[in-house]
Amino acid sequence: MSTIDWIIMLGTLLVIVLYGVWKTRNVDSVKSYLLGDKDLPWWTIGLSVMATQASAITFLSTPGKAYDDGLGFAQFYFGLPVAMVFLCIFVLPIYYRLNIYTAYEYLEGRFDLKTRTLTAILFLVQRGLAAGITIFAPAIILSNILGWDLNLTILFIGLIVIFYTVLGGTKAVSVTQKQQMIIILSGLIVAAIIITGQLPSDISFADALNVAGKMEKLEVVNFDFDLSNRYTFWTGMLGGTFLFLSYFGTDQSQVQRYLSGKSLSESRLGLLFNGLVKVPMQFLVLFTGILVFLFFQFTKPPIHFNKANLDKVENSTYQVELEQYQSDFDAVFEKKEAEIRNLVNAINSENTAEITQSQSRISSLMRQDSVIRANVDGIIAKVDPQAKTKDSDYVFINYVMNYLPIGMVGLLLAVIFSAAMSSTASELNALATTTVVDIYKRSIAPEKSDKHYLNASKGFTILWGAIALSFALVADLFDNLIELVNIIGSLFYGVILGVFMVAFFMKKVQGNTVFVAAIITQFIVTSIYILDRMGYIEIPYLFLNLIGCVLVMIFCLFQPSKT
Amino acid sequence: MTNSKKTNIQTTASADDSPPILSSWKQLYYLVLIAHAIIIGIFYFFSVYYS
Repeated sequence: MSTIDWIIMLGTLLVIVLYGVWKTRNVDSVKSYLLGDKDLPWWTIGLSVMATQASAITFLSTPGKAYDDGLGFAQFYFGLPVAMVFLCIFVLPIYYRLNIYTAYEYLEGRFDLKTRTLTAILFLVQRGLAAGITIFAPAIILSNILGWDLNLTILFIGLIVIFYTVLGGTKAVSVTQKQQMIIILSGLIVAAIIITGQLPSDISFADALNVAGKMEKLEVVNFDFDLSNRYTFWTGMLGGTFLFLSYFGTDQSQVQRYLSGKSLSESRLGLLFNGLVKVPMQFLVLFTGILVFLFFQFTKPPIHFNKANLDKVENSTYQVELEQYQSDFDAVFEKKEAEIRNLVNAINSENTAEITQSQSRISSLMRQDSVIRANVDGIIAKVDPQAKTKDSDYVFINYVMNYLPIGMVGLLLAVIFSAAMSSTASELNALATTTVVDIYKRSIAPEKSDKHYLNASKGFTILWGAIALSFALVADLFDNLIELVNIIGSLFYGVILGVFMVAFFMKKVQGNTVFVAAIITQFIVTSIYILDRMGYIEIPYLFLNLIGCVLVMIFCLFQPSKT
Repeated sequence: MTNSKKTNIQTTASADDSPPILSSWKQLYYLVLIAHAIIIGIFYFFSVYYS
């Protein structure tokens, strides 16, 4: 990486962190630390909410997902605007009226202490795990690509976040997220423009889109009700709505963002802004992956995107085998490139028969390409049985490091590190707040001074930071990083949302009933997921949100409401 | 910070505040949902056009 890129990356990160520290230099009470003086305008709330959700995984994994599977993942977010409107109507007014610090406080007033504590603990477990992954996931990819030590990369991300989150609390999180989100959005747009400019001069943007369409990469919406397909209109609108209702309505890392708003109106506007912008933003991230896919149809990609894996093979006895596969791969690439140009000509001359034949030949070449890549994965696994051969998470960063001009590499790395820091900061801040407000102050050390709770909040931020770092240092990769975070969320969110739905809409149900219903449902949801993983049943994980929520409500219907 | 068993109710903002655009929150919600439906519609025609 060039000196200019280093300066841009470190300079961007440093300026954002210093800005956050400077803006929060007067935070001296627990209210200010946990609720940020409640003075944030809607655009800061909106950007902060988006930055909290958009982790580095979003920018590493999502373009790779589009590269492999096309634009269908955008449907995952279809339920989000619906959830935003629902929350603005039913949930925000309650939270504001009760003047609460955490979402779980409301449950004690509505039910009892044990229900509040149970949901707080479910949140702490799932968010504590997710915080480790939020640091680990980008760290392992960046360390592989940049050649940095993995543990040092984890510590680099984690310690900076802990530093400014401990110092400035929730306001530091929000004000830095505003800057980080601006960097993220501008970096993505500039990257998309540059990739488009790097397509061959004889291939127009329209030609490129036609090619992607004929290669089945541009299907955004799929209305098939197919339970074996994780991402359809229905999983997004049904499962996704419940996931986002739970995530934005009951996950303290999000609730804390909009509770620090200047007023109910500002918080509502912040959430509606998120509802309007989030789906197009995710489409932009996915579309960037499609542009990278198109770029690599005319520029030869690596045979495997994780260079660290290839290096292992090149230094092993399988080197000759790899060279043979590389030679086959080069030949297939050249044929495919020529066939794609032939397809472009056929499309432009509206020769339907030739389009169909060309599509068929490209499909055949794509299959050969997949077989060669699978064979390379096979020898990687032979050289290092522990190696993760799925390389889609490395596609975008590989492009960034090797094909973006000097300066842009630093900016895009700043984007990825910013995203990692923004989501981790929200998580640590929320974990500390929930620990202090719902557990420590409520059940362990009530009636202490404001200073005591301020120091406790800082202490718990450090503690959760240390836990997240420890988890990140020992964590291992899953098939796809972004899915792991969503799967962990889906295991718990449905139950938490169910408890809140009962609280909002089933006025006669009391604490003991909902508590038992939540415990039973969590067991069932976990069992369903395990059975799905073992192959006995087939349920897309997004539906776990729906199942969890509905089961809690159904159990509350059948059990006596007077306990 | 709330500690009591029944949460202390404080009114910090009126639910009836008008939004900065349009005349009611209800209209703004419809606007967001209609915009979302239009986006999905555009995605659908994008999918069909390039399939």
